[in-house]
Amino acid sequence: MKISCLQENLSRGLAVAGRAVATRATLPVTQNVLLSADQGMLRLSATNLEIAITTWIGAMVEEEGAVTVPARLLTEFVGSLGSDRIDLDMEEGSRLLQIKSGRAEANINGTDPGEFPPIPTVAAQEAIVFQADPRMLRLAIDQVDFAAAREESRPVLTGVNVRLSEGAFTMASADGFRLAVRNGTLQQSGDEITVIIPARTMTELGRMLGDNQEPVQIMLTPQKGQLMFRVRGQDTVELVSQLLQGTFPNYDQLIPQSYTTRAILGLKDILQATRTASIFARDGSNIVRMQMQPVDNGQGQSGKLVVSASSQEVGEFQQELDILELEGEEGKIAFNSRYLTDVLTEIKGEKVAIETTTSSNPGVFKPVSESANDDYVHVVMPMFVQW
Amino acid sequence: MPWKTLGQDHLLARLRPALEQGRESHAYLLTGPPRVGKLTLAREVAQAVNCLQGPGAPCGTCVQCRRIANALHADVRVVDIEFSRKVEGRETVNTITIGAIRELERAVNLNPFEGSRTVVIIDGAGAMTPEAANALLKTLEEPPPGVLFLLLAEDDETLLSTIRSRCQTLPLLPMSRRDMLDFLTQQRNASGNPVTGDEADMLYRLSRGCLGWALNALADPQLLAQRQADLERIRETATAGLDARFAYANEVASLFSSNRPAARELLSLWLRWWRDLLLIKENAQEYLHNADQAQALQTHAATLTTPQITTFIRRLQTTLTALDANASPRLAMETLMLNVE
Repeated sequence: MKISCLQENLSRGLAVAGRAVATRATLPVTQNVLLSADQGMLRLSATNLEIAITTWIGAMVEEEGAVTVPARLLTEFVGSLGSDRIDLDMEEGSRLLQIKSGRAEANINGTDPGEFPPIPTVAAQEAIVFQADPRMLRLAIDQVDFAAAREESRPVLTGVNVRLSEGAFTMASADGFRLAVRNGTLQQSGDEITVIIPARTMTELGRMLGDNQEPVQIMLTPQKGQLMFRVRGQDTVELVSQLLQGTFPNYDQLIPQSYTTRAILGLKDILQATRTASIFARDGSNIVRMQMQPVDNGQGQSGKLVVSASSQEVGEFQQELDILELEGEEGKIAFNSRYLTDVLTEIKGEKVAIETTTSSNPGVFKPVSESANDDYVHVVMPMFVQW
Repeated sequence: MPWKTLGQDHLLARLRPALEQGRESHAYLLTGPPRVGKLTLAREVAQAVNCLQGPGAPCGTCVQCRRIANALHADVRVVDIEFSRKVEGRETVNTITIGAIRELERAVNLNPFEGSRTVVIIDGAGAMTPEAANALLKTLEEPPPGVLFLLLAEDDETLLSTIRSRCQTLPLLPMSRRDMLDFLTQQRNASGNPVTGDEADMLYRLSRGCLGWALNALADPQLLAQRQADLERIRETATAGLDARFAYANEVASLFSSNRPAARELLSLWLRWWRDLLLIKENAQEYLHNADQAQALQTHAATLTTPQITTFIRRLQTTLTALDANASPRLAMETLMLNVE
């Protein structure tokens, strides 16, 4: 193997692939990164057996070959070099990778690439199945991944249910106390697929999308039915996710279809009031109460919202906010403060709608906007309190 | 292709039809003394369910079989104390912790990465803490589709009854003398010479029919040298003064905290030495484990009476039981050493 590339390219590639390097590995080889010459590029792959990431960087390939080397060592070494040309050299039959840059030279013991777990891929000529706008995808991921369960008692809930269908996608996650459902559009689509992807993978994908503008390609790998996301930015990155086994609960029936109170609030105001209330709620089971009251000011429906929290030792807090529009009757409901701040942080736009029926029925949070880009529903179970 | 696990025909007769017809249980408990071949059989079962030529005996040549044999397969998850240490990030961990089991559960809920089935091998299931074992119950009772659990333990008594009842038990037995001699005399020793009948006989006695031990000793003469040295120490210590014996007790106690299996192994060496002493006293030399040490045994036995020997053997057994029940290794060893005469 004889390859030359630029330090900044290699460093960037290693940072991307490094996201999938196993930290505490059952298979020691998964702490390595696989380097291989591939069609005039240098391909870098890593996997922790849950996700696999492959990226390509521009390089001059004089002699093909492949090797795996400890990812952390290589990343730190390359990171410590100045921006210069890097020459990777490995003699035929040897497993010692020589890396030269300027007057620095390192020899790193590698292992046989055959020991590396097979990185799933989809041949370029195979038809692209789905394409999505990376910005919309990223927003959707941000809005659902936090609602997935952290603990494993119901494994499917640690994942995000992703349904790709004709022109549209739906992502949903739930942890038993809250449910987030995000709809979006696809630029290109194939046969409908529904899979459950570990929430950690989705978070990783969201990070990888960054500010990319190029459409993201989504496809199933032919052998194992893993889902692959091909992100095309400065470098092409392929992220393949293992899927969670099982069936996601039918969540449609959990979304309340009607409400008795609907309040539209300024997002900034309610977020700020919730955050302040959280400080007081910390010592008292994290309960934040909301009371929505109509106010007759003679100009049609409007009202005020009282956000309050208290704990016996610390004291109490309450804040009044103007409701921009109030539909229905008086309503009161209590939520876990963390669930409130989580959802209000991720809703985009100026306004948010809160819909409730009784204080023991789930509350619904929705963005208020004309744009179809805001098809988001977030359901939170209330906390039972004495009013 | 024949199965490579030797001396366990009684189990293969049960497993083979089940694997060929895809009727295998979702969880097996493989029991047997150390090095009898539990991990070998487990890996072979993992190969059988992933083999591209399957179903049936693993071909041993396809990519799946080869990766499993080389411990490279992503879907054959070995959970042992080593894994537990990695998960906990502490080298001092001596059990399979609940953290390790949780990490495992994450993995088993994912589709297989490269094979057709995920196989979980819990090597040393007896090392699971009660919390870890309890955390495993739900998954063990009803694993995700396609996941096969293989629990390996020396003795099923060390496991929770709730774990045992969720598995089919496959007891591995030591090999018969004839089978082992037949096999070993076809092998070569570390210096490349064919194994002689005498060598094979010694290995059989020392390994007590556990082929893995015999093969290890064959490949690594160091192992036999170490045993020689250990026996030397045992002989010396047994006849030494109190100071030396207490120093020895201390040594074994600290070995016990750092490497429990090794310390147990050492104590069973003691036990076997004293068993041999008894055999000599009773003129039953042909059954000696340490046949190569007959001379030293004779000399040692001459200094003891039969009741002395049987009493000490009983003390050794009490000590082992106490240690398994988590007695303080140091106190248990000191008591034992105090009572050598």
